Amino acid sequence: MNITIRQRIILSFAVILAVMLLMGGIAIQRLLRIEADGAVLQRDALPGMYAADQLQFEWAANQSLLRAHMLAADEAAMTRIEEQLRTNGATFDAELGRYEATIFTADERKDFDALKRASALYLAALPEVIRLSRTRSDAAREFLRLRMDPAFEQASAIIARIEDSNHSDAFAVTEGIAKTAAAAETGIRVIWLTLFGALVLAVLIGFYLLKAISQPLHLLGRAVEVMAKGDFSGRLALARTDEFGVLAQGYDRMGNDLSALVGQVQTSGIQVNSSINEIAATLREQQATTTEIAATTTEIGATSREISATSKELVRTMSAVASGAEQTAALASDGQSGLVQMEETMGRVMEATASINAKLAVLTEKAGNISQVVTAITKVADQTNLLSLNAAIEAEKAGEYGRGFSVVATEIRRLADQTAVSTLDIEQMVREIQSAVSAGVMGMDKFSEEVRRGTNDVRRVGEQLSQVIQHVQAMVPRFESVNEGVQAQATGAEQITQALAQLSEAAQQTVDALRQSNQAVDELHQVSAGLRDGVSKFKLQA
Amino acid sequence: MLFLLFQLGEDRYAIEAAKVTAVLPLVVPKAIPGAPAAVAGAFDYHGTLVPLIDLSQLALGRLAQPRRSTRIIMVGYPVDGDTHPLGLIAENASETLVRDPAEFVPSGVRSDGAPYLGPIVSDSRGIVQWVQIDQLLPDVVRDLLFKQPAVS
Repeated sequence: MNITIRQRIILSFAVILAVMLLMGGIAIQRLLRIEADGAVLQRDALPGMYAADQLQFEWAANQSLLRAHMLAADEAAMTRIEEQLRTNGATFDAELGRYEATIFTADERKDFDALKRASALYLAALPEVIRLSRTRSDAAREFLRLRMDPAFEQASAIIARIEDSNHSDAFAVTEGIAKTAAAAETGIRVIWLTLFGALVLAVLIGFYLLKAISQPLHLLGRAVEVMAKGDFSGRLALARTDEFGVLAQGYDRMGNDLSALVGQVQTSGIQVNSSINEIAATLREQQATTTEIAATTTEIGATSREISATSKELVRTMSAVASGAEQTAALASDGQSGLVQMEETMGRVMEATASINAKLAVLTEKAGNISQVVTAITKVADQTNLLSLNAAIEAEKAGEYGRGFSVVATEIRRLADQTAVSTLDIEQMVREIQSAVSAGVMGMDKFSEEVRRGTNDVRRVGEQLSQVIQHVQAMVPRFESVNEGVQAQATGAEQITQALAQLSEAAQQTVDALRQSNQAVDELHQVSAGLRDGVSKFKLQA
Repeated sequence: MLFLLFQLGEDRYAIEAAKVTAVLPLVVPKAIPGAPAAVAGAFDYHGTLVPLIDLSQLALGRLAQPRRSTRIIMVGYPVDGDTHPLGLIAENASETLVRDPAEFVPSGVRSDGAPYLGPIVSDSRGIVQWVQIDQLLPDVVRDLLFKQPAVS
């Protein structure tokens, strides 16, 4: 149904108001009627009746007084009655005036006008009667009987008619009031009934209104409670077009927005956490690096101090070197003269080598001769062996006759074999001699070559030595400049050491600062972890 | 009985001295083209061209080493009742051995590739095997060397 809560409330109150209006209208109508009846009774019926009664009373009193005047004994009584008559007349007039105020109908007006005419006629004749009465004449009674009484009777009749009319009016009014009272009673019952009906209606409408409001309100309340616990996954999705629909849409939108926000916060928290981790790692690296720098600086400082000390030592060494160089120059001169002698000795060695070579050549030749002899012997032994073999074979073929020859042949072969073995030994020795000699020749050749090279080397060394002497002599002044340079270096190294000490201090301070930063980052990390924990309590839509 | 000793590789072998015509120093033979590898060639012996068999090549498949102790053993080779002169190049043919043939015992191993290997005997330097000259040449070589003239 497409009714908003506002419309529903307005409708509910409108229904109740309509019922109440109806009820009030009925009651007002009833009360107005009672009030109208009361007003008639108050303004017309009762005062009219009273005034009519007064008029009758005064009228009757007037006649009585007139009769009393006629019967009065003395002058004083007459005067007093006259006075009363005047008062009565005035009162009558006044009552007439009062009655005139209660006249509402045309009949009453006509009666009143008739009464007024009759009473005026009567009252106009009254002084004449009084004057006649003073005279105590019958004329007066006659006059009274003829003139006054008809007028009086006429007025009395009119008054009686007026009284009747007013009485009947009063009765009618009283009867109306009684009817009105009965009607009012019915009205009260109607009012009660309508009141009860309105109450039931109001309760029914109120119940439906309450249901229409409290059901979605309960849903909303539960959803809000869930959200308050940090669960943003719930959605209402109410299919309503009223304010609760709008509210549910708003809630859903808020849930979506909050989910997105918290999701962003979560991812941001994770990013922040990883960034902090990176920062912490970088800080630790920086700290380590700075510590290394400090250590390195200290090492460099130590090295620099060593350089300084070494430089000082170097200065002392340099002066020693300078004096050493001078001595070297002197020694080199001695060496040069020694080398000249050595060169001469080398020449003699060369000559000796040449003679040894010649002798070795002779030896080789002799060995070759021996070898030839040995070869000849070997051949002879071989042929002897061959001959003895053939001889043995022939002897075998000769049978018994050849037996003695066979023994001889075997002996010959044995000798030949021994010879062959001996010549083999000799051959071996000769070969060894020959190889030894050729090795010796080669060695001598190599030696003489070495000697030649040595001689050249000695000559070159001699030249180099003279150059060395020159250089060493030229070096001495340079040592002086080196000395100065090294001293300057020592001073520089000390300055470097001081500077490095300051640098080391600065590095230490940096390390301290980094440690503080590290602590700060640790705290940040904790805060970030707290943030992450806090945010992770929120349950998001999957 | 006298035996002429020679070597094939490291082992010693013996030939009956009765079948040996002579022992000659090694000569450079004339080559015989197309002949089997065991045939070293032919050489002039008292005006006769005698075929030369390299025993090392025949038995071991390698040429005999050219040493002074490597010699030519001249034997008479029996073919169809005739006896043809044949030269055998043998290493270390420089000793003799006197033994009773009864001392030789069968080797117990018979090789179809070398039917000429006979019984064995031991001396102080080791085992000596008797080589049967008659069965030395394979048929192909024997026919090539000694039956060619008859065919042609």
